[in-house]
Amino acid sequence: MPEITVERWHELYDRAFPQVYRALVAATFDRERALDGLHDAFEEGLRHPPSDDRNLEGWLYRVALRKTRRGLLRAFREAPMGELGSDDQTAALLDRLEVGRLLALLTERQRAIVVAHYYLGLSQEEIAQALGVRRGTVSATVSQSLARMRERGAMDG
Amino acid sequence: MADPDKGLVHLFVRDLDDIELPPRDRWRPAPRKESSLMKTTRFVLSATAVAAVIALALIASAGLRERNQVAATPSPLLSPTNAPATSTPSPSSSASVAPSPTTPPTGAITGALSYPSNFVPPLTVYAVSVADQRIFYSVQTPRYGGDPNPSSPSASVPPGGATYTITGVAPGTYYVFAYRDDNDPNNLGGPALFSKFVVTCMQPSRAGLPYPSGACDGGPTADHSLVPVTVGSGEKVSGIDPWDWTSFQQVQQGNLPPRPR
Repeated sequence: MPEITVERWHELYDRAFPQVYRALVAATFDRERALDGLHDAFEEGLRHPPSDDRNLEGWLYRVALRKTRRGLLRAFREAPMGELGSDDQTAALLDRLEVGRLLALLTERQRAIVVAHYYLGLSQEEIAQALGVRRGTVSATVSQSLARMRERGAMDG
Repeated sequence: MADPDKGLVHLFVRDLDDIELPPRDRWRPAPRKESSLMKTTRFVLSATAVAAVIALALIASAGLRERNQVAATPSPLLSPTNAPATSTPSPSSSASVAPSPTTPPTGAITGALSYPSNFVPPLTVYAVSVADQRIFYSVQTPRYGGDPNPSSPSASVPPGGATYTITGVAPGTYYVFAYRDDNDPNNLGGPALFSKFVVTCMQPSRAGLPYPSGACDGGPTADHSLVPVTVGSGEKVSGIDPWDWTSFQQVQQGNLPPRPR
């Protein structure tokens, strides 16, 4: 497998940026945090590029999410899951989208998993590896999230 | 019956693809910003350093005139065994050559060092003559900044950032590039070049100036060829920043002089 050079990294990052950025916005409800996380992931890739360019979106999403989690962990100490603040403009933007309204019913952790599955197309195994949780947890979270969204009658499932 | 998963995937893609992207120039992290205090401090220190250099030069020049001498160093062409020496580990070093009254005053090349991490690894910066690649000058610099690392102690980053200076450079035209001196497995490959990409993209970007996005977005149109640096008699050429670590293209195409030994 050819090594990912710096120039190639720039190219791959640019290609993956739109999808990963949107996924992070949907997961965090905060555009600035999404962008900060991606910037950190870009720098991480310069220092320690992934071993190959397969599923680069998954790699960037995982690293960016991990980076934003430092902020998340701080926030968790002060607010219960699901009640984290989001940036108002992003929340308003997402509220105009059907998916945004559904995601608003979920906790940030649930959103991170659901978005990875339904938008980035990661398998449950890949999500489990990426987020450092058991596959069963991913599966349960997806089920709970779907149930929650159905419960509110927001989707016809 | 429709697959509910398929329906959800369609819904997610349809809606989330509507999320507006940030402007292209925000896709990558901006160069670290300086506070106004840091900027002022850097300006004052730079101005002081320039003033000190000028004062020293005037004093030296006056002293030489009194003794009716010419400060001069021979070109390394005169003697291959007099190839410029490198000193360790000092960010400022000169080629070791014996004085001779027949050669013109030597010049210097200086610039800032950079590496895409929170430290700058130990480097050897080379200035290799365009006309004759056997002629070169070099300086070794220590590792700067980064996390504490007992196996590789770091110098603290000076105000204004890590820099190098190669002195004693005979008038001529040179290519400037730097090699890492450590064996870090994450070595970006290098060498780091003073290339057109630095001049066209990186230097304007760091100065907060506009730069051509097409040639600077890391794509195949980026020009990573070396930029010749001309040093005049007694001239100090600054801003020769070997920042371009994406030299693999040049290496592959055989456009780089070999590393001097």
